[in-house]
Amino acid sequence: MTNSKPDEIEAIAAAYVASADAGTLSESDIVARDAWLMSDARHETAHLRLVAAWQIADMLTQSKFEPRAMIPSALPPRKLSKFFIGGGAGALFAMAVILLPVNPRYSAGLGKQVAVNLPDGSSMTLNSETEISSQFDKKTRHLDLEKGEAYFRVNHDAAVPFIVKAGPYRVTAVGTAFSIRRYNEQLVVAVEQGTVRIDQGDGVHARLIHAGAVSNASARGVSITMIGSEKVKQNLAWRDGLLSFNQSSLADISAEFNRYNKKKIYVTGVLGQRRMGGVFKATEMDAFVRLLTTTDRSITVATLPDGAIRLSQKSAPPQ
Amino acid sequence: LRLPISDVKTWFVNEVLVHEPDLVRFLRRKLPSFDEVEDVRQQIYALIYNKSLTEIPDNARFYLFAIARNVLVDRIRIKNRSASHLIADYDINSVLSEEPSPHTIAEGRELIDRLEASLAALPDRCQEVVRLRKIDGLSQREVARLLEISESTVEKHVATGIRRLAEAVYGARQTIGLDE
Repeated sequence: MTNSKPDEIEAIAAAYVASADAGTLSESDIVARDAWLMSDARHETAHLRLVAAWQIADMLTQSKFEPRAMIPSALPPRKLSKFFIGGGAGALFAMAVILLPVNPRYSAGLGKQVAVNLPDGSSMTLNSETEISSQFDKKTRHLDLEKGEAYFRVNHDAAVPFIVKAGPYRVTAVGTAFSIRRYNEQLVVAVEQGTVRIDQGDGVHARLIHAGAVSNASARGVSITMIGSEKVKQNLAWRDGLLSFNQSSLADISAEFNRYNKKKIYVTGVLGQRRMGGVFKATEMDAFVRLLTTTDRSITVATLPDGAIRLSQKSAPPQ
Repeated sequence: LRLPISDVKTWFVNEVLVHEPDLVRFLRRKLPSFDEVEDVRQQIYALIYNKSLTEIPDNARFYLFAIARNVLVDRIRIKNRSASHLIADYDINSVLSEEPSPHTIAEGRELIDRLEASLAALPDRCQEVVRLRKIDGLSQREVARLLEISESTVEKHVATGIRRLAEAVYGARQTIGLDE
């Protein structure tokens, strides 16, 4: 064992936790940190102790210290509309337009993706079968995701929080890009950039979700999983009308296709547990079925009276 | 045979660290200085962690205090080499006979209150940085730009905040802090 003092060990451990949290560790920093951790179990445990404490400190979001909406974002501002380029009267006119209260509804039909520019310069994309109502004025940026799924790119406003209500939950953006999906009494929030806060409207059960993480909220509570920014991007492939799968079960894949197509697809028996990956056009279910049946001859396709397609496996035991 | 490292880490955080308030209270009664308490605590954690790499003990709390007693007894033996056996035996017996009080780290509202108090007690600048990072959800770069300080300064404040908040998380609970 080395003779380092307890205080020194803790100070070094704290510095590593802070850098890791800020994402400023370089490859060589990580190598140096891991070497330091491995060299002495006191280092490892001191580090673990602080990592856990810093994570537990997320509970501060439930404290009397409320998140402040007036914090200007240092994110690069979105390109403002052309009105602003002229400056002067043009800019004033544009401001006047923005300050008027507007409460339109937005919706996307089956198999459609709809891109919307919001009055505050933010934008959103609605996925198949989505309904959103809105309330925008100079003090308010409220959206209500009544059903479906949408992706939001939030233009940071120094004074007005961007809030999306979804069932019992409220998601507040602090300058960020994220998606929300409602289905089966569940809420899935995926954060592509920045951080969002999720709570139940009254600050209770507030959690922060950072970039690269996905949060799953249901009656049982909120869980947050770090899946990495690549996977978050993959989950957002629907914006381009694509479905991206990585080792997903055929049951899940068919359920995804059914979100976009009038003609439904059902997978029976053990075939539903077959895993596969790939990128498909959401509206081209037929191409997917063709690919499936040509690569595996044991899969049979039956068309049901209502036009739905049923896939089953010849060798599968009878249900 | 070595266990997957993540299991050991999870176990250490969930089963061992939760007993820190008691462990520290126990050590404080037996050791004269704060530095020594910290030193022995780190030593005990290292021992239990190394042991758990080969086999995770069934009863973490029991095992933790068994190790704590061993470490304390060793210390007493080394310190009292020149002193009479009677003194050493008395100290050792007092370590072995003492039962730690059964409390773990604070939870729920109490934990939030503790974190809040700890945050409020931080120096102004440090407190502002921790609030912006933890509650307002800003990135390190955003905080640096907002407060017009360097990113490395932000990181130093965060490191200080982490240590202070850890004290709130693992510290002895207020309601039973009178015996200290």
